[in-house]
Amino acid sequence: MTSSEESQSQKRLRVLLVEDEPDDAELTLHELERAGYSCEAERVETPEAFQAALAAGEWSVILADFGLPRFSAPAALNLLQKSGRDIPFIIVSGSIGEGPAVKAMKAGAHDFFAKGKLGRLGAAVEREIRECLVRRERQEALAQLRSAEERYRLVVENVREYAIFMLAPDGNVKSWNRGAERLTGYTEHEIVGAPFSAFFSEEERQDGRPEEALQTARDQGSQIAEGFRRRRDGSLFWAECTLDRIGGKGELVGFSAVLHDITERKRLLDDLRHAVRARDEFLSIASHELRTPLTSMGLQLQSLAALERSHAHLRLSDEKIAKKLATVSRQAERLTVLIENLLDVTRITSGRIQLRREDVDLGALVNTVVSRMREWSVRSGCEVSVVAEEGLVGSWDRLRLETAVTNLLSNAIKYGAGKPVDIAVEAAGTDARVRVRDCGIGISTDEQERIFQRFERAVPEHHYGGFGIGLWLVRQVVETHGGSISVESRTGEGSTFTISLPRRIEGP
Amino acid sequence: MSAPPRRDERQKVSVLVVDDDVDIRETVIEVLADAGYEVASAGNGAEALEALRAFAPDLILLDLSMPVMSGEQFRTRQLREPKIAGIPVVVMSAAARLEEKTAGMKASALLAKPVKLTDLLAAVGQFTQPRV
Repeated sequence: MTSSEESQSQKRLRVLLVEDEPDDAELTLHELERAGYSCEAERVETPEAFQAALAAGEWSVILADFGLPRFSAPAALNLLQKSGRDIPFIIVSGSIGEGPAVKAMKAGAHDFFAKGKLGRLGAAVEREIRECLVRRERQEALAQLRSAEERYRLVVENVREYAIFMLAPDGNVKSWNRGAERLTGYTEHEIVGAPFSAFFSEEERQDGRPEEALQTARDQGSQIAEGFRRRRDGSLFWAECTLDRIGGKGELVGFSAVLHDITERKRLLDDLRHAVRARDEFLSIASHELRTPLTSMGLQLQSLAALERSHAHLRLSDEKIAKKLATVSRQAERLTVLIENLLDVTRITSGRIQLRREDVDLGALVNTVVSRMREWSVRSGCEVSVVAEEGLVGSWDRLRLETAVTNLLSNAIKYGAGKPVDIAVEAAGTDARVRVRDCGIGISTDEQERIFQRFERAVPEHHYGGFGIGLWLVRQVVETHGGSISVESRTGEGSTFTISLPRRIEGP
Repeated sequence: MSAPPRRDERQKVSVLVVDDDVDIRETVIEVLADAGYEVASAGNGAEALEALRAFAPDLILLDLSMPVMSGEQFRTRQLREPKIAGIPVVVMSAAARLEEKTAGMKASALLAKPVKLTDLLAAVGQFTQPRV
């Protein structure tokens, strides 16, 4: 035995024989063993036994006699094909002519051998087994391709916020799927064949955007644009729209289109831009506000210095000097309050607001604030009156509450148009309430929500003093106490701000 | 609004200070009065127009950001009224980018707050001629 024959002798073969003659079967197996196969065989001669054998195990090859008393090669081939299995099927027979043999081959038998001329059987079996293996591999690859396609289809259909579909070269919708339907509301039946412009807003359609997009994709291979796109129900969403040309310029096959709903992303971006703008505006207002008291302060001090140099101060009355100093000291106070407010903003923004609770008499606190601001209110021509329930004590942070009431009162005076301001302090169930009412310029309904935001104000920037943080600060202080703030107002008729504070800390 | 001085009382040079901040108003009135000027004041553009019906100052010292009527709005109205259009205006404001903001206002001078006393007196002196 040569080494190649030795290695061939290793080849194991499971052979299913459809044969009624044991001797013929023996001969066939002998031929295979001669060709180097080590055979494990089963011989059947009825359809039932054939089917049982097929079901019972894996077979390398089926060798079938053409005609048996109760069975035949064509019948066996038929049964094999019905079972859906791909096993090399070779007819080994002595008693048929060319006609039936060709017919059987056409039906799917892989080869034909005449008994007694089995010399090439081994080679034929080897070839058929190899080809069968190739067939199986191809089928597996096909199955994998189909499953990859199925996965891809599922991705395309199930991806949220995306519509991915195809356009024909003329820009009409060619293919559609459930994902695209979910995003746009169009069913396949409604949209296939419709122009790409169906997804554009009326305005963009009139501007010729759809044609422009297709033209760009046609010329440059790809086009990406952002804009409003239209759903079936007419509602608009902000989309990033990508068109890619399929095929070369000469042989355009169509376009792939991706609509990505980025409404939420755009909203976040817009919010962010707004916040940045508000901050810049705030910084500009802050510098304006800080310069105002500095102006009076500087002028007073420089005028005192000038008087000193010219010895004019000797003729100056004590009263006048005292007045100048009072102005200076008032400006220092204004600066202190402005800076305190600024610091409060950064403290609260970074979550560092910590309440120092103590027993506080709310009526007394309000009266203190009012008397502290008396000079300013008188100078502004606002008469401030307080009606306070006595002994309304709660567990609050005194300084923060003073800040809140000061801000409410200074707003009432600032926007109060010189008319009277009323403050009421009263109990309301387990809450205590402070109501500050002015009869000034008021706030339109549109503006009422906005005024509690940081750096926002109802009136145009700069025309009124202040940072635009007063009410935001009040709200933060009140809410940190577990309370709430509300506003009632009409343009030109004044505003009423009410803060409600729980008198005791709730919960453990 | 403080009472405008009567023309026939004395022949002092007069200035109208227009600013919404009461402390600035009072301070400027004080330092200009100390320097020998006759000073009146108004809290916004509208009050200034009202004051100008009764009194023609030699100079208007004008803030920009004010409620009711801003300095810019006031200046537009002033220039439209021939009787008062000729009164020079010095803008005194804490606004950022003051030159840009006052580009169309034809102001005689710009003073950025906080302003130095010497600069204030120089600007006022430059645009007011003592009356003969």
